[in-house]
Amino acid sequence: MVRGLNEIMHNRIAVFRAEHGLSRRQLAEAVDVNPQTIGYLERGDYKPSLELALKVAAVFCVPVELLFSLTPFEAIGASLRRIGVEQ
Amino acid sequence: MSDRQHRFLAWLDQSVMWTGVPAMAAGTPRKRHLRWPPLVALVVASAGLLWCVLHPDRSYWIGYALIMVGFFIANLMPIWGPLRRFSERADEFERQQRRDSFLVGLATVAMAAFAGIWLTVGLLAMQVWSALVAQQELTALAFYMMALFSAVPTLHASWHTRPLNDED
Repeated sequence: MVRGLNEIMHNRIAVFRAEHGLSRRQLAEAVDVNPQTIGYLERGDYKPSLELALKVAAVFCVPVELLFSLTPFEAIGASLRRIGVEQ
Repeated sequence: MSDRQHRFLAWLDQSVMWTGVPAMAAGTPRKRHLRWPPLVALVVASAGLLWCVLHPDRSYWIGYALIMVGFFIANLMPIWGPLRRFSERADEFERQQRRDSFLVGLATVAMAAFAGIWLTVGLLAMQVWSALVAQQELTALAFYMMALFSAVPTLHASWHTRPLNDED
């Protein structure tokens, strides 16, 4: 299937940022962009370049596909249930 | 100093900060979404141009004045609008936003020029307008196009993205 250019890119930057206790400004400084760009990225208004995506992933020390996806991410609750954390 | 005076001075400080002039002086101009001012500028300038076309007689100056008001408002847009100037440092999002918005702005200017010049040439050829009227209409068109060039990129950039809440 050919994917369109206007396809939404989902991301979990806000989740990882909260987990690492980083503000938008701190993350922006780490990847050398303006804080508003991080805001637009989190909201899905802007698709990052490969370079920026890799930089953001490097800040959180995770593979880039853990942060960005062309399909919606599974809800955290659903993930936890799937791996049996509740049991 | 009384509490009332202190509050008044604090209010004056806030008013000055709101204008964005201190941030401009510090070299860090505040960029914000301007959704309505460019629209106002374009509506006023367009009404002026329409007036100039419909009344190329002695009341022409009313249309010309409206275009100049729109032109003045439009020229303020690049100062406070969301787009960074070409001389300013911009990240990849801002560069893309600037590129897209100026592309839309230039396309709009080109369309206005195409329509305006052919309208003028046509009415001249049909001898509806004299050479003097055509000259003043082209002057009005030139200012209208400059207003478009200043206002349309800001308008596009401001409506293309929703403003962010100040989280940090």
